[in-house]
Amino acid sequence: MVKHSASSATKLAASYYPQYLQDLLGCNYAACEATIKQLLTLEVDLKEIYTGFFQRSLYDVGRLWEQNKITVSKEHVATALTETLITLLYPVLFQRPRAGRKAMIACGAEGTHRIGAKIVADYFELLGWDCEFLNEPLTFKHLAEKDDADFPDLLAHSLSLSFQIPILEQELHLIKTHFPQLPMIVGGQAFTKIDDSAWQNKTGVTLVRNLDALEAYLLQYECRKVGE
Amino acid sequence: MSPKFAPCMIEYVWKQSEILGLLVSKDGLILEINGYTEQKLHPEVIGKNINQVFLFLPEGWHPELCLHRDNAELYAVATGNGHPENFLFLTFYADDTFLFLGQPPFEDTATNTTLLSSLTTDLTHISRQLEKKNAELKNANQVKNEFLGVIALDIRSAVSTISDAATMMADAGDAFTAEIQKALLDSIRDQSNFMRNLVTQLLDFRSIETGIISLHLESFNPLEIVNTTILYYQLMAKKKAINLHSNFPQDACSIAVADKQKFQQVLHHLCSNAIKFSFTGSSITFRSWWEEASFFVAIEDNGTGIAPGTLRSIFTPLRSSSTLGTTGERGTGLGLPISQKIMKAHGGKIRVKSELGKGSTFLVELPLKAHSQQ
Repeated sequence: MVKHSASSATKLAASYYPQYLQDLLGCNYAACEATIKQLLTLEVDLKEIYTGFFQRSLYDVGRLWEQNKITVSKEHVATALTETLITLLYPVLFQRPRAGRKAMIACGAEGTHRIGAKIVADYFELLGWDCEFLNEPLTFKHLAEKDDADFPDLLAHSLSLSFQIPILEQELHLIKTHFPQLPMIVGGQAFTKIDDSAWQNKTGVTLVRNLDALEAYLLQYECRKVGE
Repeated sequence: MSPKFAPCMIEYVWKQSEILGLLVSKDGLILEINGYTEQKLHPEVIGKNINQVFLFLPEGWHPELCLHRDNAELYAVATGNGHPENFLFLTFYADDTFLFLGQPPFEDTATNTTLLSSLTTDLTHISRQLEKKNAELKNANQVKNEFLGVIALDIRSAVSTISDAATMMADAGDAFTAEIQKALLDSIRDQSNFMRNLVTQLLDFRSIETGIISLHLESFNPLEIVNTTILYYQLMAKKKAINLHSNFPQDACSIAVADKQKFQQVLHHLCSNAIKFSFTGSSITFRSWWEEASFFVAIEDNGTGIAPGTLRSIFTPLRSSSTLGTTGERGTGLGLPISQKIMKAHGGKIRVKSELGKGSTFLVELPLKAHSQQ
């Protein structure tokens, strides 16, 4: 097996992307699976696979749908295939060393729009956090039932559909009242038209736009903790 | 619609659309097919009987099946790739010939796509949980192996001390003074006690982990147990010049229905832990109170405290090693997990606040009427 440097592995991975997207749009699971397995064999950084393949292809698929180039059905199948392909990374992802921080990630009620939250949850794991993914919308009850040992250090909620924002706001307010020290962040397509500072002022919850911003936020979080 | 468009519509349906089109004689012979049927089935279906194309027609096809029928009928057809597919067929009759027009059940397909997407989401979620749990189990197994190694070393060290002391006494005969003999016997007793505690905790842990934790409920005043515990540990505390203070109204009385012995076991463990991690000459304070339907006891020390990173895992069993006390006291690291399990079995819990270098406070909550959480 030829070992590649990190940068050459990234370049090599990027060269696989056009074919991967074509296979995804052709619903060719076997070909997509072979590509992801090949990337794992080449020891391409998991972050690169998440952002350069899964996230990028979902954005491309979404854009093609908005341009009426593909059907909504095709978009759903591509999303489902991506969710399945992501599971190929789990054996590697969960064996990575932990940093001792716990996060709880929740998502909207709409089944077909949970993949964003799932990628966020996995990204937390990539950054060394132990992440509990709820696969459902967050309620106050989720936290009230937690033991001290299981209580999260941070709460994140991803939302795809903007009409669900008011319900989320109510829950966040309730949680903030009972657990004022618990940092909370939100993100997802639902917040595209929401102004960051207006949201922050209204709810006291930070709006994180993308995975890079999430990484920067978590880095700041660690710095604050070290400073305490 | 204007008849002027009829030719282009026929052209579209017969050559471009994704609709099956078959012209069939009264006898059921396929006379002509459109472009999509040619692509979907096979060009050679022309001349065959419709029974060879339509599946699941147990009594065969006959014209009456289609005459006088206005609604579309769902039929499965054998496609060229070997997989059967369903189409909704409308049938028209003219000049002793049937025209079959079949369209895919679009609504059904869209519903199934949504359902399968949703199922995939749920299945991948389960897969995620399984993989995560699998990683945790692998890690737990590794920790367990390390823990067994530590226990084995502890036992070997204690057995060696006992063996050495016994050998020295046997070899020396009467040569040792009474003082030396007492020191050796003390050492044998201490090491034996250590091993007995170790084995007891391992057995307790095994019972609790396998779910065998039965509570023998009885009525008692929990404050009395706190007082007894303080008295019991006075001697041990005195050896490190530690003061045990109680700060609660002694005449207060409330009755709890709980497992007295197990509650005592929890207090014993927390008290010995507080002494173990307190510095010589410091003090430990016991506070007790009743609040709503629970009895609370807080044990507060000014000892070593616990690092924030460790705090979360102190109730987790089988950590690879337990910390030594301020004067080198050993432990198994099982006491806190066992105590937490006992309190949870009562419907209560143990909470902890700690600051490294400043000390710890363990707060025990005992519901006055135990309700098992198992």
